[in-house]
Amino acid sequence: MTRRRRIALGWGLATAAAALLAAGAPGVPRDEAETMALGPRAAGLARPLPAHPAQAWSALADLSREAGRPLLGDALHGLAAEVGERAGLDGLRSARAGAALVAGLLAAVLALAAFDLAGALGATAATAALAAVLAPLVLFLAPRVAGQALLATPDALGALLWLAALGGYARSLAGPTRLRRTHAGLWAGVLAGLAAAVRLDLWTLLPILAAHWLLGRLHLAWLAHQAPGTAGAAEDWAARLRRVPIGLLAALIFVPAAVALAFPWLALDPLHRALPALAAAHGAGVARPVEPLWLALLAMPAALVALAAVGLAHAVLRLAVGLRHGDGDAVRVEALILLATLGPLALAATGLAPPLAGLRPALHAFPLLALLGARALAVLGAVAWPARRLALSTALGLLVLAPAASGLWHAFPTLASAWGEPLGGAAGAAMLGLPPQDGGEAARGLLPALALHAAPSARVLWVGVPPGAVARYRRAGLLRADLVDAAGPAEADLAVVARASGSRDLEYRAWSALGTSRAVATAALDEVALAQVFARAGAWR
Amino acid sequence: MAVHLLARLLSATRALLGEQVEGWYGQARAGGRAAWVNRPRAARAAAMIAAAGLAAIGAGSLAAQRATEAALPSALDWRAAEALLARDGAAGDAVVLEPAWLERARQHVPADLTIIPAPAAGEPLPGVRRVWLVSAPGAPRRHRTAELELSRRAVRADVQRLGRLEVLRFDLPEPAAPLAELAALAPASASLREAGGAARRCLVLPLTPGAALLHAFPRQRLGSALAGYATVLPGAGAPGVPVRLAFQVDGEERGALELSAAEGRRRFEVETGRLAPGLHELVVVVTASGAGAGPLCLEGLVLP
Repeated sequence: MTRRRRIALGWGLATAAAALLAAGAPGVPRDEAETMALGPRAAGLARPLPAHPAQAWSALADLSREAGRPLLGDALHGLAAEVGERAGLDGLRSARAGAALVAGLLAAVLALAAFDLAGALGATAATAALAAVLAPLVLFLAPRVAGQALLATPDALGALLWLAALGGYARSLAGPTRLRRTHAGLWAGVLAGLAAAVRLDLWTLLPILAAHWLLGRLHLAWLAHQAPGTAGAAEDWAARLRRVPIGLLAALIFVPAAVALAFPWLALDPLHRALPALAAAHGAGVARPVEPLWLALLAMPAALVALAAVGLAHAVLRLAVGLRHGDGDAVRVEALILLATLGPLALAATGLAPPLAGLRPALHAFPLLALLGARALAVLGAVAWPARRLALSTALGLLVLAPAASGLWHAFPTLASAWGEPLGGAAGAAMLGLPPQDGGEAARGLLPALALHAAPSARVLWVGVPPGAVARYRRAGLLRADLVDAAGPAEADLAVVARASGSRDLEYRAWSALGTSRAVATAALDEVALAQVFARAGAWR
Repeated sequence: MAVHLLARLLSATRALLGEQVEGWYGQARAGGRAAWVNRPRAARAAAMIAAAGLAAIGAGSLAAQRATEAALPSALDWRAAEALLARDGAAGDAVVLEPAWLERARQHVPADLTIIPAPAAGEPLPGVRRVWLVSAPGAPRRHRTAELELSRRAVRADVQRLGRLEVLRFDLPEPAAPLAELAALAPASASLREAGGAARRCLVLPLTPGAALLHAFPRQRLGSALAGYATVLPGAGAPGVPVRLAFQVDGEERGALELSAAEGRRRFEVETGRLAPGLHELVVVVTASGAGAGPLCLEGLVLP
């Protein structure tokens, strides 16, 4: 096995094992509760598809209408949860088995891509290996990205498919033989289709690939214009069509096909439903507590933000140098990476990213940023001090990654509550009124206290905690079986409040009904109370 | 002779010093020229600058993380604050948190002390004799709004530094002692609700579109004015639905205001000082012009 594959395999296995180990600790946010509820249903309905296609298709259409999104990601998580349960994993771990698998695959693909990308620069094998080792670290040491990778939501799977499709497309442009190019192009199309079938807004990979091809054509036309003597004979349409990359043509076919298969409700009447579905997927007209791009800048460790900026600047520089010196390979690769990285970030900046919590709207841009950052780290050492390139790159990597690792350790398991150092961590974010968590997941930290101190058969009012998450905690045995859910403040003996940035009226009504605003237990990060328990007299022992 | 010798000595010293300085200057110029000639090429220089920048940001981030952790209160500090408030706090005292997100305090403030929102300028603190300000002075981006406001209206009687927590006691010179609170007069309709971004105990009056809701209070003595705040809570409809709030004393309208959920918490004051002494019948009339407005949260005080 080559060193490249050894690194990828090592990273894949280590990441999947670490994700599975850590999967039991974080709480269930609103989005994950949706997937945990939808996944088993979607997987259950998809199973009889070969035997009773019409019936199963109709049931899936109903489910996808109810969900308002494609079901592939949810179904895969549902399937993995079933396998995890059969393998004897405990409650939350079994539900997140698919997420651990995706995290492992993402780490492996990222290591492979980093090795290839650094190797394409003409760097030594050691420098390429260093880039491959660093890339998964750069990605998964960011607390929020690591937190997201642990959750059973379609986003990390979408990011994996986005990255793999780009890799396939890049290979389809630079393969040594026509057969290999066709093979890679077909895979790129299939993977782009799967990405859109996991998260509808990832259909944007199609226009990104088209823009990449068009920019290439424009560049060629400009070069031909600069050298008028080299103008070739006029081409017919068939010849022009043959020039369209196979990856783009495959994506043109597979993206709509995969979306139709994963989103049966949309497939039943695409003319009338496509636009509303796309508008919903891009969050048109939905107010957000904080724009995803701002959130990314404020929530990521400062050193990783700086590294991403250096990585992007390096890619732009390589693109400019490539254009100047006519290095077609470099121009193709850098332009593709830049388009695929900046595209999602631009959508996030213009409010056209999906209305999801935390980093999820632009999560698929982060593996690419990690790739560019890792390459930049490896190259910086080689260029700044060629004689000691590995030592310098490693030392620099340690200095850049140490704050991220320390932040990850500090914030675990409430990783979605972590904020960057310039802001002052979670405390500084609270001062600015930024969302303290993604969707009620911090309540998980109160469950041990609840199990220990709640009076027998106490009625619990859950404020800011999604009902699906409560059901999952109960199923996982994290919530005492005798505790029942209260319908409203008046009926409650205990109130578990997970703070969000919105209205707190229900929490105050609960205080009023319980006759106290004194908390009996708190889950906090940086002294910011993310979740608290309030109890009626006698309901807390 | 001696003068002549001294002059020669000085002249020789000056010449020597001049030569030395000239030598240093020449050396520095040569060194600079050599460094410029052997300067790293642009790519290497850029890589060195970027590497140094990344290293500095990494080290700075680690230092910032440690500084933030060191600035925030520990479990021991909270226990000390709890002991202090339990020992020195008395019924009628209130606690204000600064910054407002320091809600871990809810687990440590004794049950007989009430945590109240930081008062805005001019906002009365009815029935409060002393305010304990529990603050984390080292918290990032902290403002001292509450401390400054309390310092304006009260005497800072005591400051206790408990690790990374600070507990300041403010003695209010003239505690506002209203004749009555509307919420206390109708406890069945009173509740804590979110008004002006904080929990307020208020009278919650449901709104029916088009119909007037009359809420009558027991006959009572009225002082100089009826004052407080009114907030239309968010309902199912648009936040701009107008709501009219009127105060009738002995069947005669004494004051009214129109407000909507979009306006937030509105202050009102109805003058009642010219009424004849004795008990009066007070009725609050609330009318919503359209559908979808939430209930009205009325914080009212009968001022002496």
